[in-house]
Amino acid sequence: MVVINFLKRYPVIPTMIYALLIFTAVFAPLISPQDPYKNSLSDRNVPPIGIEGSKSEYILGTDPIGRDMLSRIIYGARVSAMVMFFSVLIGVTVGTTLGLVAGYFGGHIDEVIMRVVDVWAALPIIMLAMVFVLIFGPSLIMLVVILALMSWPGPVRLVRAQTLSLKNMDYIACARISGASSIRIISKHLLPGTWNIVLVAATLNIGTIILTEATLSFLGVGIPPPTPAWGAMTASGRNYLNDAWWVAFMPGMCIFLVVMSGNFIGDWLRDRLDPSLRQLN
Amino acid sequence: MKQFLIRRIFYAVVAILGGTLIIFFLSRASGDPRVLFIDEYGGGPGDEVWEKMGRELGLDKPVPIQYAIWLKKSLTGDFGTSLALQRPVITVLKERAPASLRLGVAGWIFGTLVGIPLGIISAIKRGTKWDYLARTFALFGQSLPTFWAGIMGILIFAGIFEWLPSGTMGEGGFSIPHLIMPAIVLGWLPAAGYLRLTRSSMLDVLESEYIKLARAKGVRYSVVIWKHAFRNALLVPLTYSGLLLIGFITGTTVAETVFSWPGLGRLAINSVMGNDFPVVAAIMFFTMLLYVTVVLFLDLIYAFIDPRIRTG
Repeated sequence: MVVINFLKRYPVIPTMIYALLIFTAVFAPLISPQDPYKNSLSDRNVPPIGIEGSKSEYILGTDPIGRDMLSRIIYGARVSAMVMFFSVLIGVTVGTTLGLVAGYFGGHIDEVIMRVVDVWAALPIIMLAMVFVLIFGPSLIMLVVILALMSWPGPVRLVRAQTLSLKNMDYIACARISGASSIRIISKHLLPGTWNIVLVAATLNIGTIILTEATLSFLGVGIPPPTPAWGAMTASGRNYLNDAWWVAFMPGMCIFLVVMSGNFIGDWLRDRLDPSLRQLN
Repeated sequence: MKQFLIRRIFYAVVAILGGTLIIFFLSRASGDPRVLFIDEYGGGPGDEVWEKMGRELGLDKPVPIQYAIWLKKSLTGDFGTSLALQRPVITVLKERAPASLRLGVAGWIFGTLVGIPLGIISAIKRGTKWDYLARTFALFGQSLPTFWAGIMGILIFAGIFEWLPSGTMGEGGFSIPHLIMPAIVLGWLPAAGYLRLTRSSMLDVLESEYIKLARAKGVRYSVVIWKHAFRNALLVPLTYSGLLLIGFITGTTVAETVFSWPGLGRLAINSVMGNDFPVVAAIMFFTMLLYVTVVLFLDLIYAFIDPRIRTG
């Protein structure tokens, strides 16, 4: 009973899934049982352990050109984790800075920043991403740039709203009277007050980022092959659904679990840190 | 109200101009448009023709003027010729649009008809198993990768049970069974969004004083829910519809790819793969136009319903 209540109150399982993702991403070469690029034509579409015809060296089976699924999923975690980390970092940093500036200075600066945010939100990001890939060619850096471009407007809105309510407080007026510069007020007095919002915005972004990365790689505009990425792996299983369902099933399941954990933790954090946004459970 | 109207329309125009500017620069960044006329053997127009084409396309003029020419052409529906299909872009788009529209409407119907009622039930029966079921549905909708849900749907309902067809629009172009799976896959994410927003805004409204007063006066519970609470709670999901549209554009691209649906989304993907930039630019242009217009209308409706918005 105690255990169940604990699980209900804290997102233990989602956190464990994230810990596992990061662990796998960091130690991929050490824990992957096989070489993710090595194909063996005699071992095509071998089913996972427990299904007739499986082989003991391929725990999760093999893909249509005989590469080990488990090793590819482990290396795929690397791509997801890397893309997630860098794009969230860049997107949230830029978004927070602009949100603070827009909220603090107000007036024309605010107006310009918010109009740009509006225009940006109006662009279909998947299509934009495809155009970027068309022009500059697919690569990991390209992908991070695209996803960072996607993730900055959300934090701007949230941080700006928080800044607007903070900047009229007495302690900000006191800081100004004592001669603090704008930069000092923003970085020392306003930024700490927005940490909660920033954290929530970042966590809620993670799910969307991973989902978009997977979608792009599914559509063939993500990281170029043969680097294993979960979305592209799902796509490669599409034509083998009748013979080898696991090829499409396994990587998709990984995406689903990771995104769901991200959403779960994000919601939980939001309820915890920001009562005004609470979903009234 | 009038001032508010003018301001909102001005913003919409600025947003459209900004968007077209981005599309214009991307289309120029993709290369000199004349390069497209060079054939696969490296042969192409001679120097004189090359210069003449440049003058016709306005390439000898400064960039701002080039932009103005491009914008004028785009606004009159002239997007040039598709490189892959060798036909005017606008004709190709007109052919493909109905299929996307049909899928979009079907997905939207699913999202609304499932999301909003489930959100209300979830709020009224808060804390019960119905609430948990509805919220699990929402969590799945937000976390399932659309393409994977589609593929698994094909595997289960078309492969194992053979209840539904696995893709395409079907013979004759309109078939309900062909529409079911793509519509659900496309509508699940918006349904989840509607559900969560309806639920939280319904809970907010149900807590308010006027609901308590109505209940205290002895108004029947169902009347309070539908007549007093529901109307006010619907405002929040309404504003969400703009964001929903953006999700839809991504969603249709994926759903059309998975289910071999002959719409604009698939056209966009194929054009990107085939370096067919005029088509891509045109699709981006219309998507943006559509989005800005819808958001403008929603803003106006919102202001019309809620006076606090237009004064504040």
